[in-house]
Amino acid sequence: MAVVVGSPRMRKLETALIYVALTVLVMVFLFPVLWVLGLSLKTRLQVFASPPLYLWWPTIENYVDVLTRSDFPRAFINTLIVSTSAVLLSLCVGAPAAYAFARFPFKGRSFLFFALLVMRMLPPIAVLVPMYVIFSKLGLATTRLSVVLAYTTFSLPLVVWIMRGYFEDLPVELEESAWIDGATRFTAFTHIILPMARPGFVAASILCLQLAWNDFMFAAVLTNNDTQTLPVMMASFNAGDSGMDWGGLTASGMLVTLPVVIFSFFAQGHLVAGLSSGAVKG
Amino acid sequence: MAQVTIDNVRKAYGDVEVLHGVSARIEDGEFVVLVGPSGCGKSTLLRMIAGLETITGGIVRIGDRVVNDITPRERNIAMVFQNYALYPHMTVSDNMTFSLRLKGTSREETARQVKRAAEILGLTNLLDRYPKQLSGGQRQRVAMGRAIVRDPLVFLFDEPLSNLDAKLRVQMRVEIKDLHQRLGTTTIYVTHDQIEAMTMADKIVVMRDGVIEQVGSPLDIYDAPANVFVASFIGSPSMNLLNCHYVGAGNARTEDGIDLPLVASAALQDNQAVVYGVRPEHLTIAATGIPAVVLVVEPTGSETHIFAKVGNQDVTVLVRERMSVAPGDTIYLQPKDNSIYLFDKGTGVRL
Ligand SMILES: Nc1ncnc2c1ncn2[C@@H]1O[C@H](COP(=O)(O)OP(=O)(O)O)[C@@H](O)[C@H]1O
Ligand SMILES: [Mg+2]
Repeated sequence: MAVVVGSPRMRKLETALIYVALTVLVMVFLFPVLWVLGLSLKTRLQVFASPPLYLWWPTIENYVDVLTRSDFPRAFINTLIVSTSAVLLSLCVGAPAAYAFARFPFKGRSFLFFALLVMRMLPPIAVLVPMYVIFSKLGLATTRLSVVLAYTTFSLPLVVWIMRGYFEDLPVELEESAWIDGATRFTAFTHIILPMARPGFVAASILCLQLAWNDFMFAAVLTNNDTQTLPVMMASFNAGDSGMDWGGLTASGMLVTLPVVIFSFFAQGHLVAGLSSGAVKG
Repeated sequence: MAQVTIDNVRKAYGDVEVLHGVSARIEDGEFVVLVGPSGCGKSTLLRMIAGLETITGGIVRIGDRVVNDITPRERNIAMVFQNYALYPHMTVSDNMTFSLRLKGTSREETARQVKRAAEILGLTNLLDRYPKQLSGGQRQRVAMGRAIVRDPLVFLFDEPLSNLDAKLRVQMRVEIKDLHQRLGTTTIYVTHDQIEAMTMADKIVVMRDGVIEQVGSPLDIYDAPANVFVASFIGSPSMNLLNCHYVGAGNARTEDGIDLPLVASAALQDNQAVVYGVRPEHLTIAATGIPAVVLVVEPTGSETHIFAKVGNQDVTVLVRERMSVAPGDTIYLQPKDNSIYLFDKGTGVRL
């Protein structure tokens, strides 16, 4: 019997099926996002229409409302400052730590590494109250710095974990070669290791950014009206006398998501695999 | 340029000593090959000279300077690694000039050095490429280019050809040797391949299990191996070694009672257990001699390798003339004059 699997028609059909399956999958994953987007483009009346409206003239009044609220720009800037600082701090502290874990066989290395991970295993709520007390005692409560430190606590293990893997995979000979070429350990790190570990940095910073950007819990406890971040501000849509402001909530939700999506989209271009290929034989 | 002296150097990893007191002297401008089986400590010794491994005991000198506690960057050496270790995010040209840029060499001087190195190695058209765009042989040349722009005191090579295919290996062997003749820089070259050692070295250092077995010129070592190990390691196909005992009257006898011809020696006692060594190329096939049964015949074109059994021991014979021998035939082997090596059975030392 002839085997038809390889025939061009079958292959076309196969490709078509794969695309259908992928499209369905993407729709499933994106459905909540699309729903939120839909809500944000409806008037208050349309939101509560029953049965739900599937076709309507989109309105941008919710976006106008949110963007003209007095506290939106401030919260946006707070979020930007806090998130960026947390990412940079995590990378600056985490990358050298990861390098040490990857290259120096110091005593207690595996224990320390494990200890670092334990921090990630704790439910964040468990450290929230102690953190609040500590920051209060230090006079840092309600400052942006306190939130930055809180986020760094959680993203640091992530950075160390990811970057350690990257550093370990880089051939030691590259560094040794640089030392022989006249580089100090530090120069070799900055000129050879860091450029090659770029995909690791990108991956780590995307994850850290999302952690910080979307956090509600720490920011809710550790900030005040002046220092509050976007997720905290968004919660206020729930609070008014007029009940839940769905339009405002979803519109601000879309606005909050946008910068992270844009950042991740452009950053992912740097996640090129095989950057190190050609260093050693291959 | 400088000589390198290694004085009773030891290396231990934890409790395990892998170099047990090694001494050697590499003269200014000399091409020295460290050769030995895998795991004997060649790379470790080379890396200690480079400063990439700490020195557990002994002294390493480059020129007149003791370098034990000097970092690699201050030793003014260049090293070519087995896997080349090219910086993947830099072009060929940047790879070669990295060391010069660190030193703050002027732009004109850097350009001049790169031009010179690229011309020597035939890399002129590849300067703007990245390592991943190069073939194995080209990467190998870039790694060498990186070494020669430095104009270092010593070149160190750690099995630089083992990732290349056989043909390219022969070609690069010639190029490296030619490069050394042109530049005259002291070179220490590590390999497990005795052919590389024989063809490239001014001086060979044969190592085994963390000790030096013999030091000498390629032909000295070939003609006068110090012990059974060196005899079997150097030369291809390797030397035939037959266990036997001296029976006096210029003869040795194998366990199977086969007599092996010897020059009578007063130094030997009757019944002394010895190892009888003769190189495959020093055996001829004659009408009489040591009887051997042919197992396999391997013609290579220019020469033929005959694998045979003397009693229950293996011998290899290398003949240049074409002859019709077939598996199962009995042939008679005659060693050429003065081609017999006798080694002590217990210590392996040549008698
Ligand atoms: N970092 C290390 N830790 C422990 N043992 C090592 C280390 N590096 C090498 N060795 C051991 O030292 C011996 C010599 O290794 P090496 O110098 O690499 O041998 P070669 O280059 O001659 O093949 C080997 O037995 C090897 O297992
Ligand atoms: Mg080695």
